[in-house]
Amino acid sequence: MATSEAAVGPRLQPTPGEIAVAAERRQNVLNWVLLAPALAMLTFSLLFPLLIVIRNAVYPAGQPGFSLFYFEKFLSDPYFLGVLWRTFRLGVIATVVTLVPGYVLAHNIALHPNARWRTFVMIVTLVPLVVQLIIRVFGWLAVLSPNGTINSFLRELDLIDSPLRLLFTETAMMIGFVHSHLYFMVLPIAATLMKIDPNLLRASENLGATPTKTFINVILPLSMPGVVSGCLICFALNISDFVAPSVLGGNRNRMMTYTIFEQQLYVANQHFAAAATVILMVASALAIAGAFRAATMYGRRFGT
Amino acid sequence: MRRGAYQAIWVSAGWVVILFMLAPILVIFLGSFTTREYLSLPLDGLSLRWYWEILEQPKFLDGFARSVQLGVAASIVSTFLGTLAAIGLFRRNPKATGWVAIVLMLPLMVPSVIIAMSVLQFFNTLNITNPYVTLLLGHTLITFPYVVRSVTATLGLMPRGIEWAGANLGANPWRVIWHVTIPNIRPGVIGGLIIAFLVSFDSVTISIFLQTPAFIPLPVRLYNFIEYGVEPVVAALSTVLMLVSAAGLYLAERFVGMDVIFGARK
Repeated sequence: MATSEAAVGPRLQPTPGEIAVAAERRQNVLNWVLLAPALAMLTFSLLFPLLIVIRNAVYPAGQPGFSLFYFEKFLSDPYFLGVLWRTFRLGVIATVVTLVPGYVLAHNIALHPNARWRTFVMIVTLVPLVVQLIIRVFGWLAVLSPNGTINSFLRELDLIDSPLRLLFTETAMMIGFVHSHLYFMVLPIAATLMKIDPNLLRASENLGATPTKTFINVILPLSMPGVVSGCLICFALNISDFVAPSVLGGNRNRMMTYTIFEQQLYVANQHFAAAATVILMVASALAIAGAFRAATMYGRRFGT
Repeated sequence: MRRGAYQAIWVSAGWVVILFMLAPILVIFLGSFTTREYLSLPLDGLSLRWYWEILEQPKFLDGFARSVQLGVAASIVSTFLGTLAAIGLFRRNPKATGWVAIVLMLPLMVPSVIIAMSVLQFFNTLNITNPYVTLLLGHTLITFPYVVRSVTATLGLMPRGIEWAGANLGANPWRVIWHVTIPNIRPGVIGGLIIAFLVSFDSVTISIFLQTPAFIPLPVRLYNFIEYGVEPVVAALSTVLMLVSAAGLYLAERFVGMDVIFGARK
């Protein structure tokens, strides 16, 4: 439209089209001005710091040039390899362990006929996010410690003579992981369960399937995208969790995050800590990328 | 009948999970009223002595003051940055998608330990060790995505026509933002401010890496303290803190919905 008007002849005033383009350009500039402070902050406190860590990991102290020295040191030391393996192993096991209670809560939230019960379960699911992390960890210390709730109840009932060793075990760490990350499992599963067309469930029932059969053959397959993304999110959270595993796991069950902390602040080996951080970064990035891939694959297969 | 039994199984399994979720919180709450020197259940009497004991602990009081200072400063800075960014993001694209939205949410996707390590090493390189600077930046970074989320949610509820009306009546874009947009998204801004404060107050990991002996926030004090034993005074303090954050969340919930606070909204 603007071009046809411009072709008519000489003119003194800008065409409506030109005004619109100029206004849009001004609006665009304004948008970037609004975003600039936040993007500057992100550059200064996230992007540059991440680049510094990567630089510290590959440029050894006191000698010029690129080197994978710290990665070799990490990956050739049996202690650190053990830490890496424990991080991966506990990350996977904790994810599988979280899946069961996660599915239970999600099913109650999405498919129970009573709305008040659904709301109640949803609120309980949110509890770990309402109560501060350090308080939750303290609560589990109080439950699991040698003088804690479980041991004093068992002693009261005369079931044990000496306290059970519950704290500083992998079980205690599992409890911490599940309690902290359950919500992130419930949310994607509940979301996919809510999307299931109720007619499918009625059809299955009309065709004579028992509720259990409907669950196994209809509900469970349709909820797989949620299960897969919940599991991968939980895995990424588990391997990068710091406070709960270091307090509940104790000295014998150190994970990658504690190694990073120890190397940075106790051993003061900045470069080695940076290399360990990069390894953890790559591991969680791979998990997240896997999550996206798996979610799209399932999405294509089940049309969600 | 069979269907009733099916749901009953899910409900009973649900109760087991709910008990697990609430167990540590109930233990802290009940244990804080103990009359003994250690956190013991079942209770053999009720007492508020451990609540008074909090006031005798200068470490906790100092930590509390530090955490409040830090939380107030970080939430004000991130509310400022987050509100402007959310408006810019929304004006670009009302669905708040695309790479800018992803970049703004990055601090929530990068694990806290990695953020904390990076910020620490970055400031070490620059020779900045002032905890006010490092902790403030670290806490601003992790709290401001919540403000963006909260403000974006209220922007979506605002009728777009009123901004156009302002512009048609001759207001320049800045005046439209200041006199039309911001007053209309006030609930999202205040809700975001409260959530940012609570997130900052809760954050342990970042603070453990960035603390200095001169500035130790409360969660770090508690982290150091609980490693040496389960003291009833910590249970009392925890109960107080739980009530404070429940009150804060209740307030935030009145300004913006729960789904916005916890990111349930897609």
